[in-house]
Amino acid sequence: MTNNQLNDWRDNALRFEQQLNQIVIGQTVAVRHLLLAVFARGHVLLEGNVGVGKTTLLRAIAQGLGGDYQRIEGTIDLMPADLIYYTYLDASGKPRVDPGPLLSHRERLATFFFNEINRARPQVHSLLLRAMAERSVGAFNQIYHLPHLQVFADRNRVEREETFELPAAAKDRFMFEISLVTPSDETVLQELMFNPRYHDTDQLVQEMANGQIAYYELNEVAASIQAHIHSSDKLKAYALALWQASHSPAKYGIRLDDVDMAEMIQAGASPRGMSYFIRAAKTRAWLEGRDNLFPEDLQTVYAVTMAHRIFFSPLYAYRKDELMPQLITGILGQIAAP
Amino acid sequence: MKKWIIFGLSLCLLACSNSSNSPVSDFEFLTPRPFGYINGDEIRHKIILETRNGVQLQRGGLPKRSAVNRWLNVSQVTVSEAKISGGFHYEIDLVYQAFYAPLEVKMLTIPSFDLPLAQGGNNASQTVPAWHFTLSPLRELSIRKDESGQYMRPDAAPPLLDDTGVVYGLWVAFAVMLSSASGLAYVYGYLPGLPKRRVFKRAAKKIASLSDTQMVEALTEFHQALNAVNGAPLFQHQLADFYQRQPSYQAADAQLRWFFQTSNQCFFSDKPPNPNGTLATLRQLCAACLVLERG
Repeated sequence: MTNNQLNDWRDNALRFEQQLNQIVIGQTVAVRHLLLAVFARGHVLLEGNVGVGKTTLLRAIAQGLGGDYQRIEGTIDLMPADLIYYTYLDASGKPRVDPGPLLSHRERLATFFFNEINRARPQVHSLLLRAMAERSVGAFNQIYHLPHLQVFADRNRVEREETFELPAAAKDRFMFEISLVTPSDETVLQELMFNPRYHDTDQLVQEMANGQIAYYELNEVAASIQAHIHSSDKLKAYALALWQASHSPAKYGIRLDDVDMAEMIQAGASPRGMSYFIRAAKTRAWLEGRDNLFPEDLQTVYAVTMAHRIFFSPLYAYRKDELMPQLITGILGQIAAP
Repeated sequence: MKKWIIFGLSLCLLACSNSSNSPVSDFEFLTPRPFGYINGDEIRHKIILETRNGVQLQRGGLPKRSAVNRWLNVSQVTVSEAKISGGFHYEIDLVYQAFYAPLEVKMLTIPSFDLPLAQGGNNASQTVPAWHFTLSPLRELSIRKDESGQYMRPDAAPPLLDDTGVVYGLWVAFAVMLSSASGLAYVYGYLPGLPKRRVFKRAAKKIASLSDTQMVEALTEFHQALNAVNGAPLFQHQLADFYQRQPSYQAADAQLRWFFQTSNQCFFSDKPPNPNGTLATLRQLCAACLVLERG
C-alpha cells in the first residue's frame, strides 16, 4: 500500500472518528481508542456503567465498517454450542440445525458484540479465546474462518452477582480495556437529556454513513500501517522499559503508598500484550501523520493496553481499582525517554 | 551756704567731664565661684565691654586657644559685637581649663591681660584683672585605712545607656542581611537542599563544553534538566500541565516546543535534525531557562 493510499485511509479514519463523536457525544477518548483498535485489528473489552452509550457506539462502528454485526447477550446458562449452532423443529416438524451467531455470517462478520461477557460461563470464554486469537472456529468437522472478526465485549461493573471473572488468558486476548464513563460536562449532559436526536438510538446510528470504512480491507491497511511506522533504538529501549516496569515497578523507582512493591505484582504484561501495545501505538502514530513512533504514542495507549494485563497478588487484588491507575501513572511518570 | 552748693555742683560736673574722656564706657568682669575646682575643671569668664566714640576692640590682642602656662589652657574664646550709640558693645566669653594637680588646696591665679582698643590711629587698652581661685586635690595624698574597710574604693559602675533601640535595629539589619543572602543563594542555586534552582546552571555549563558532533549528549542533558525541574520525565504533550506547575517557563514555550521536536527527530526519527546551528539554539534556550530558573 502506497503512502498516498495510507494518507487517504487516515483521512477516512479521522472522518469516521468525527462522525462517531457526533453520534456518541462526550466520549472522545473512548472513541479514539476504539478507532485505534479498529485499525490495529484488536479486540476490545468495554467497561462502563449502564446506559453510557456502549451499544450505540458499537452499532455506529458496525454501521461505519459496513460488515455484518452480531450481538449476543451473556447469560449464566449460555453454553459454547449456543454460539456455534442452534437446533429447532421447522415448520414441517423436522429437527433442524442452523449456524449460531458466530457462524451465521462467516467472512462477512465484522463486529461481534458480546454483551455482559462476565455473565457467561468460563466454557464460553474458552470458545471465544480461539475465535479472538485465530479468527477461526471449529464446528461440524471443519474450520470456519472469520478473517474480519473484531470482538467487542462489554463488562458491567455495577453488578457482581452471578458473574464470572474473565480468566487471564481471555483478558490477554483483548487489545484494549476501554472505560466509558458518564460525561461530566454539563453541556453534554443537557444535550443528552433534552435533544430528541439522542433519544432514538436506531435513528441516531443510521446517521453513520454505511460502509464508509471497508471492513474487508482493514487487515491489509493495518498490516501496511505496521510496516510503514518505524521505531528507533531509543524508542525500543523506552518500550522495553515500560514493559519491564509492568513486571518489576520497584526496579524503576515506582512506589505506591501503603504497598510492598516487591509483593504487589503477580504477573506483568505478556509478550502478546506488548505486541498489541506496539501495534496500537503505531496506529496512533499513523493517525497523527507520522512515520515514526514517538514516546507519546506509547503513553497514549499504555493504560488501555496494560491495565487488564497486570495482575496483582491476592493481597492487593481487592484494591485494584485504586492501585492500578496509580501504578500506570507511576510507570509513565517515572520512566524517561531519552 | 549758697556758694558751697555751687562749688559742690561744679565738682560734680568736673567729675563728669573727666569720665567722658575714657574710651570705655562700661567694663564688667563676670567670674564664677573662686573655689571648689579640681584638676581638669573648666572655668568660664565673661567680659562685657562697651566703648565710646567709635573705639573698637582689637581682636588680635585677645587670648588665643592655647596654653597660657604649664597648667592653664584657654580652650575657647567667643566674642560677640553689637553697635550701640557712639560705640560698641562686646561680650567676650573665655573658657579656661586648669591642669594642676595640687597636693593640698592651693591658690592659683589666672593672669591678667589687656584688651587692646583702637580709634583711628589712637590706641588704648582695658586691663582684665588677674583672678584668684583655689584648686583642690582629688583626694588626700596619704592612703589610710579605718576600721570600716579600705579607704580607696572603686568607682560606682556608671549606669548603662539605653541601647534597646540600637540592639533591635542591629537584629533587624542582621535579619535583612540574612534573608537577602538566602534569597541570593536561592536565586543563584547555592543552597544544597534546593538542587532544582541550579539545574539549568549545570546543564548550561555541560552543554557549553559540548561540540556539534555531541548533539545527542546535549539534548539528553537538557532533557534531564527539564525532568529535574518537572520532578518527573517531561514529554511534549505534557507541556501544558508543566506550565501550570511552572508558569514562568510559559515564556519559553516556542523554544521548548522546538526543543522537543528536535529531540524527537534526533532520537526517534529516521531523519536526524540539521546539526547546523542546533547546538547554538539549544545553548540560547538553556540560557533563557537559566534566567527563568533564577526568577
